[in-house]
Amino acid sequence: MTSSVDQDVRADRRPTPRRVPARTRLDFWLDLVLLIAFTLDYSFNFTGLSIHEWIGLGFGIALLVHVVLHWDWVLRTTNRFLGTMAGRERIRWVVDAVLLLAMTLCVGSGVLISRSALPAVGIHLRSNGFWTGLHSTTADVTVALVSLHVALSWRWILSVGRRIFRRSAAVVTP
Amino acid sequence: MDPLGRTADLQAVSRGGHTVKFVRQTVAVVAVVAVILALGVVWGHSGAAALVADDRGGQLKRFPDGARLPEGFGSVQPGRGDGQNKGNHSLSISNVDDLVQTLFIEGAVLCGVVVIDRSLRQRRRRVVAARVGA
Repeated sequence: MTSSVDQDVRADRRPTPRRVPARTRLDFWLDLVLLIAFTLDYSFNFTGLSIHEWIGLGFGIALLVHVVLHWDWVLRTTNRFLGTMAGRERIRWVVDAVLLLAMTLCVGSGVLISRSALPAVGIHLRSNGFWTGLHSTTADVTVALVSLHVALSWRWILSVGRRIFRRSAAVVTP
Repeated sequence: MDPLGRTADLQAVSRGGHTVKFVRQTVAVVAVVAVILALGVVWGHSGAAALVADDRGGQLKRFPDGARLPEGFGSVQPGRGDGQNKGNHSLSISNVDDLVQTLFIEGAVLCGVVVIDRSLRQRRRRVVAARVGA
């Protein structure tokens, strides 16, 4: 039999989860929000037009913040891409570059063809069939690339996710 | 003094440096976004625009849903995403299969990449272990 004092001593010896830096936590949660927002936004028949457009506008702003936060990485890897770079990193760079292109065009064309969110605030833009077609084409390309973008970072997601959730569980559990 | 041993003045300089860097990066990203959108506009005005153009939206004459067409053509039927879908401005729980489909696409790609990545890593480990053992 073990006494409660022994149990307390053993609990104290348990390794405490490593502290997750604030910046890593911000990246993790922002990326998760972006993924959920995109998943909802792509499911157009589920969300309906108004929610689709408002999520899209919010997504555009969050995407801008995401790219700004990773701009150092973009510059660093672009320099290395021109020199020597491992195959996996090269694939990631190409996926991210095409994703930035497709997402920007998707959000931009979405703003131009807005029929609910922007007219609701008094903004009426003129669009044509090109922007409607570009919006749906880039959205289809983006859904594949977003999945690939997330999948290429699955080890980071797993490692940070484990640390964040273990830590919060450790904080909750006395 | 902060935990890094910096004085209040140094901390202020560091904060200012971060702000300048953030503003500079934001300007750079906005410039990249503007260039991409400008390329989109150029694409829209080029002959290649037909590659993605949605005919129903612009290049063909669009009739309102339910409009009567000339004799023998019946009436205009709402297309996919039109009428009941695009006209629906609120959340539609009955269309949850659309969300499930999106999740399925994302999940399939994710699983595929994870399986490939794990098998490649295992193969690399086996090769390294064989080299060490030899």
